[in-house]
Amino acid sequence: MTLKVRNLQVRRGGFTLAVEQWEATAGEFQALLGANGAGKSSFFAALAGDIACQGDICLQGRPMQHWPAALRARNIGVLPQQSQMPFAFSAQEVVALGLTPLSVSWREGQRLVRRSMARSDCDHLAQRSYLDLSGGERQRVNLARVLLQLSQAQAPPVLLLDEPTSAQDLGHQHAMLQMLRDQAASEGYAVVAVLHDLNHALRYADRCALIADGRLVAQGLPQAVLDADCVEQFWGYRPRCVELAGEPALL
Amino acid sequence: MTANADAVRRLPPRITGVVLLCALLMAAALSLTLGAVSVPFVAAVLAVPEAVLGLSLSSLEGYQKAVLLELRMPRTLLAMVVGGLLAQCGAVMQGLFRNPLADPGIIGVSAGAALGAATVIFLVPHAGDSMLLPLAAFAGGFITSLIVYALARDARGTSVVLLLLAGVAISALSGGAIALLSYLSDDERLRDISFWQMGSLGRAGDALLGVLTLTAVAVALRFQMRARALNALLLGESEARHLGIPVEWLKLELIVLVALAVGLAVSACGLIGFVGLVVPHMLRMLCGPDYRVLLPLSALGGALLLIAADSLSRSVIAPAEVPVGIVTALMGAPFFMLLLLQVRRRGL
Repeated sequence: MTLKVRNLQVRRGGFTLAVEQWEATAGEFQALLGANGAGKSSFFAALAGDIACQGDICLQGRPMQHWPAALRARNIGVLPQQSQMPFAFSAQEVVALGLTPLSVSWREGQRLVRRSMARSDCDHLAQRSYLDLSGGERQRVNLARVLLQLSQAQAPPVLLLDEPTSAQDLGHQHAMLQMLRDQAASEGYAVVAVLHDLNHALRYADRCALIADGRLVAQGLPQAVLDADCVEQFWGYRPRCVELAGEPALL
Repeated sequence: MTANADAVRRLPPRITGVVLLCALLMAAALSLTLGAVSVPFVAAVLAVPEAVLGLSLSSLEGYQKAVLLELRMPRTLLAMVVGGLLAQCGAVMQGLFRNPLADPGIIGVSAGAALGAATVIFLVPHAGDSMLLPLAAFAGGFITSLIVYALARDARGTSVVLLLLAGVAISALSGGAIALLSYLSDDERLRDISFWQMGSLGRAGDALLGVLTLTAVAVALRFQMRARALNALLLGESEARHLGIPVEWLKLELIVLVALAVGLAVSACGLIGFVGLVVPHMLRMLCGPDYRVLLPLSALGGALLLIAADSLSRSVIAPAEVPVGIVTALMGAPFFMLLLLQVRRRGL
């Protein structure tokens, strides 16, 4: 198990999230699903180490808090919904911040920067000022930064993404999800993404985890979890389940 | 692609550094020639090797040599050290607060340090030469940094409004307390206290200058070691943590170093504002915001700016001099307003 959770409890104001058991394995793309306020942001923040929680979170079999900070950063990367940047770095320089926990020569660093920018389709933005980029472009630049950060992982690393496609246009949404799926399949990454579009989960995710009322209510194959009854129960809207060109879809 | 049209334009940092260094050496030599006793430019240039190596290269009269080595060189050195230190502290604070408007003067850290110093002057007679003064200034600056940080910070960083208001509040408090101390003081202490508020490079003792120079070198080296972490911190605290930076330690360390540097600078020459705001901002525009480059360039730029300001303050109404804090304030405040306009347009 690459990332494993046991008896997790998070309290935030009056809200409690309790997850007894959850894991993400190397080589899978797992979608975190749930309606607004269900607790997926709390769950995500706990996995990312942004909020205090009780229980065990193990990365590659080792409790999160026992990892040296820089070594942990090479093995788990987090893409938040948006990052701030007060000064006019170029896009390439923002990506190069992903080199912070790594130890590479300058030349090798530049090669890795270019490679991860190409992967997240932002290499053409390299010399532009980050401040002049659109929201979607910034998101892709930050994704390249996080991919770069994981390029020296010794074991399959974990990539946590909070709504990575929220600011992308249609073409980039699918390109990004496909790239993440490939990253899991070919490089063995455990990719965990909060997604809002259930069709994205159906089409790209290997598994999905459904969170509702502060609990993990289901974890499994997307087609098995996301039937019409389930969507109606947790999202309050009854979709039509159809098959388009051999693939399941929700209308 | 039109990418080149929107590309970030930068000057090569190495060339900028060399140009700044040459300008700094020129300005330092020029500032050695300024004053009632005339010293030729060549002699001023030769003064440094003479002082360091103990040679006698120029044909100066004894009194000229005394003025040069005992009065002007310490003053020029002080200007360089304090200017470089203040500019670096400004750059670091802007990273810590993720805000281009942060500056030890504007957010009230210098005011806190001045209050610490004024308290010691008031309580301890002849405190001017003891190390109690810099210690008190450090304590004042440190406590103020913590208060401002706690007041202005929220989950997403710091808001400009809260930051400036915290600075206004602290400065008002410190100003009021200093006014009270002045009111209660006798003439001699009153004179000493008023000197803090104007800032002057003419009065630091040799011991303090020595301590300040050593501290400046140590602090600058430590800042340089933290340059990559400072870059990462610009993304936000949780992103920096995800990148493997021990954020809480980093923040504490930087606040302590800035308070130490500003406290020492304030105890040596009073309140000198805006250097920390103007210099890093201009250098970011020229060479980009990467701290690995920005910090050393800021040290050079700050030293140059303060030597220029000091030379100006000594020559406009010669033989009298304007306190250098007044000169930097008159130059820096309009710049600050321009910067506010720019930030407003960007909506930071």
